[in-house]
Amino acid sequence: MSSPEEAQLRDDLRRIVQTGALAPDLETIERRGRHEQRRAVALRGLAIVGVAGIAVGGSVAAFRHSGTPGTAPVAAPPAKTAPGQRPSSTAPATPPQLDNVAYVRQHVGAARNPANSVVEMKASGIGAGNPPETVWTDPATANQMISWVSGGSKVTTWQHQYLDSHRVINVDDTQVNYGPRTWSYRTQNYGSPITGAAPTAPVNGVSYIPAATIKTMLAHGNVKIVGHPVIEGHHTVELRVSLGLHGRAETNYFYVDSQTFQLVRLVRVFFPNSAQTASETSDYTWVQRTPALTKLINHPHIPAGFTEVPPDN
Amino acid sequence: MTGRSEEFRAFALDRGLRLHQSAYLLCGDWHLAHDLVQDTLVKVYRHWPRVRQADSPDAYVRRILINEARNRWRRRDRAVPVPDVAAGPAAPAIPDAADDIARRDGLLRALVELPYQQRATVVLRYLEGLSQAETARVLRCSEGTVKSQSSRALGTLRNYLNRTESRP
Repeated sequence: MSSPEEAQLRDDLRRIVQTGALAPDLETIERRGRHEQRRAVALRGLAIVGVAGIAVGGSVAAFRHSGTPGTAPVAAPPAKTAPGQRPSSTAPATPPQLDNVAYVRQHVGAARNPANSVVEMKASGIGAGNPPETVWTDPATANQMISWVSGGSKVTTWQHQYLDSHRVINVDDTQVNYGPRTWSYRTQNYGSPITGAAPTAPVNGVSYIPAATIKTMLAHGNVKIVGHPVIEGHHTVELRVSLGLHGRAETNYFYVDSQTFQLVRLVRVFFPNSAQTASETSDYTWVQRTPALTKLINHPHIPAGFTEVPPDN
Repeated sequence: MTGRSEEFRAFALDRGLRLHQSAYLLCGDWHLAHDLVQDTLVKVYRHWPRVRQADSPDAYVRRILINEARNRWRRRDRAVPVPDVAAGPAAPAIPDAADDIARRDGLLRALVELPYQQRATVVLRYLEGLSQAETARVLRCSEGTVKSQSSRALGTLRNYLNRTESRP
């Protein structure tokens, strides 16, 4: 039994939809259905492999840790391709494992800087109001050459890092300003002596984060895979890594090449969700090391005729 | 073509139009409705053995469609303007077909703005013509809930129903 209102509603709804016409694209629907079926099967298989891999990896790590004192435990990577090497051309561009945080974390953590390479970074957002910078870093020495434009003129600074005889970190900063044709020099001393090896990251440097630090961040942060964007022509995995209590201190977005697991882009967001939030973006390019490039980064070049001036502040 | 494929195709061609119409009333957009129907039929294809063995394959498929539409509704931009047809001038003394079209347009917009459960109830009850019990089975709720949801929906839509109508 229905009221006149219900009858009218029924009639109105039929009139509203009577203009609709659909010819379902059955080919597409069946193709999608088969694809999703295969994907579901693959994901189920991956989940099983992942659980087994964690168990096996844990056993291997425990064995290595107990068997070889002084050696850091390293879980066996489940990849068919060694980190840093490109897989064969028959390998899929984005294997399904890239949806597995443990797999990606392990490979990014295991990735090494490409041998015989230096890093060129285009960095922006470094400090409020600062211009974009081009940063060249030599991973072998942790020295950097940084260029930017200030007041319409190019400025380049070379930052050379070393331990003095008391094992104190020192950074020599040589800055050349090509506008007024001046240069300055200063040494920064980093206080107390250190123990152990010299740092591989520039202590005073900008943006560049070496592989070892990335590994530490991945190990201690809350890691999530949030996408697979194409960055600068690279198929990447986007990892969000939150550091500090509830991720309040810093959130980093790592974009790593989906095949080599080398860093392609790093976005650092400081104090997310606060009024003081700030971010910096660095695009990484690994460049073949040449004698000329090595010299350019590691040896300040002061053009003839430039005048030495006192360093800023 | 395999037996499975033949069966599925026959089912999809037979039910496609009605699914499309229901999807349109659930989302208010023909193109989105098309996507919804395709997503629904993809799921039906994947689970075809289960669908064809169900007590009521139609109820099973309707439930998939309702769930797909609900998922999309949760992700939508909520700022959908609804023209206040009900607050407009009174209906003219001489019925006009254009008024009827405008009224139904207002009805559709008001329908799309209803809480999702009410909207699904209206579509199943008044477009699909399901009984309260059948609607309750699709929505997995009690018949009492279907009754109350229908009542509330009718209360909201009443202003779009009590207009002078020109019947063709």
